[in-house]
Amino acid sequence: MSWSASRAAALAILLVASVTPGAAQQRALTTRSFQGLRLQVAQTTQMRGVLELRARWSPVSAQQRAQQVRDSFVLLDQRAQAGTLRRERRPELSADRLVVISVDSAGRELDWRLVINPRLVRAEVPGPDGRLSGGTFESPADLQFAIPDLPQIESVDIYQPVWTADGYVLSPLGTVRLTRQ
Amino acid sequence: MSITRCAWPLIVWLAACGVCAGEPVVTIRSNGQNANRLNVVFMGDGYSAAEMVKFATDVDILVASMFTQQPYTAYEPYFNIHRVDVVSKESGASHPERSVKRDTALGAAYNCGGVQRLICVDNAAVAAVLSRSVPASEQDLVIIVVNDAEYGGAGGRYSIASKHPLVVELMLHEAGHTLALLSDEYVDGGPCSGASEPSAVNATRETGRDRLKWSHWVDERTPLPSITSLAAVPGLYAGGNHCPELYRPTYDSKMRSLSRPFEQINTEQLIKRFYNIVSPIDAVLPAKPDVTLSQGDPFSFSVERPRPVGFDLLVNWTIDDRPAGTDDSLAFDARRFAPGRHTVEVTVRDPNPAVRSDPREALVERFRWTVTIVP
Repeated sequence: MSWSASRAAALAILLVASVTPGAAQQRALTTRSFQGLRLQVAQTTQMRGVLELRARWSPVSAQQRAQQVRDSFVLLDQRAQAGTLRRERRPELSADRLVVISVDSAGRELDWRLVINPRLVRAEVPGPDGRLSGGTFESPADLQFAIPDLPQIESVDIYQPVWTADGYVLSPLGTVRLTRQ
Repeated sequence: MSITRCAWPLIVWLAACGVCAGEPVVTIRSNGQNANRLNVVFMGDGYSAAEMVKFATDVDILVASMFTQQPYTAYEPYFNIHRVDVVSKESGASHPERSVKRDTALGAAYNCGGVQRLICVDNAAVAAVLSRSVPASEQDLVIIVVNDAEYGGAGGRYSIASKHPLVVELMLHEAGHTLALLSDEYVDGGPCSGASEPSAVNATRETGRDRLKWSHWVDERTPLPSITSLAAVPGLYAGGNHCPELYRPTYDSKMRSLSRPFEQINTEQLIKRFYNIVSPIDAVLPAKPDVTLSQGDPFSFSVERPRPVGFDLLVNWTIDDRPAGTDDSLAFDARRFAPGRHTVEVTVRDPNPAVRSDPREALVERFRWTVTIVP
């Protein structure tokens, strides 16, 4: 299988987030529609490999979020892997997903992916008759996800889908800045 | 340059790669290329080196149970199952409520957040193992089996399951959330957000028969709201998605209770979501969409498709938009066509009646060739 090749190609590089302000960091993220994103940006299938990213995610309070303060995402790990990412045939959003959008230094959006929100944990237990009860709560977790390994990607914007009467809108959470050698 | 100097980069690389050597991965069910299959990854926690055979057996039991239930039975060939053999220093799981601490690879512990049956793991440890061992594009569903017989588990980015016999049911319920984006169909817990129409296909606040998301499943004689407790009767049943004011599609289902079928509406959504990943076309030949033939050349087009259990996907060929065949291959006799450009198209469709509504054509895939015939 291809996994051994992936392992052979993998070389972990521990990285510290760059503090150099760039165009991507200065961009103001705004709420947007998923449909609009899909019309503007296609999921790429052309990539030299996959970048696996791990970021420390420090959410702000609801009060701060209302004041447009963004969550903090600090890149901890960036790993180049062999292989490609698949394009979802009929993507759908839900509240437990995040949308990650890869961006170049000019602010151009190059690709997007849906990832499962790692902070959401479902705790469900059955009663004697099998009937479930429980719910979802938030638990601290690093955000780990994969993007296409495109040399021009400089940062990744993270959005939270929020359900409204008109469908899902994407609410910005923050940005992970990559370190390029 | 001396041999010693030549070897330095290799030595440094090998030292660095000591941290990226992956755990052993065994593909226990292979039904096609990973790129066009749902890849389920089982990892173990609390299994010592001496218990790897036991881990393999436990996973086999879970997998067998999973595929005894619809729609997983019919679509088993759409899944590849991988087992990551993670070795723990100690056997079992931590029970902080009893001051029991186990040194395990993924840190599984009961009583997470004060909920006795909730098992949490060290997410960073899980992510590290996955990163070393399984490509990111092949982690459609990650299930962590915890070597402890007490009922427990969790859902979310990773499904966590103890070895209690009921846990396979919980695992399938959680996959209903993760793979199919289904909502819970019970009322307890929360939060309840019943003020607007929910996004999930199996919850609604609508009561009008024509506006119902699952109206294509509701018999016109079924009263709405519905009061029967009979199984598998689509209607409008009070309570769902943690809200008493919302409605669910059947009286009971696996999204409400363990040891029940998914029932029609959830099954339909599961199948459509299988096809979010798996295309009805595995491969076509020729792979490129442009073909040039001399007028005397015999030529053959072909398609490979997944093979669900109990029925076949339907294949339809057209040449210049006229029906031309229904087999997996199409003989193309260039002598019968005038020089110039022609089109050959294959459409593969899943006819499973368990899906009644598919407006986005998740169950359909097409491939079109442009054939240029030269004299």
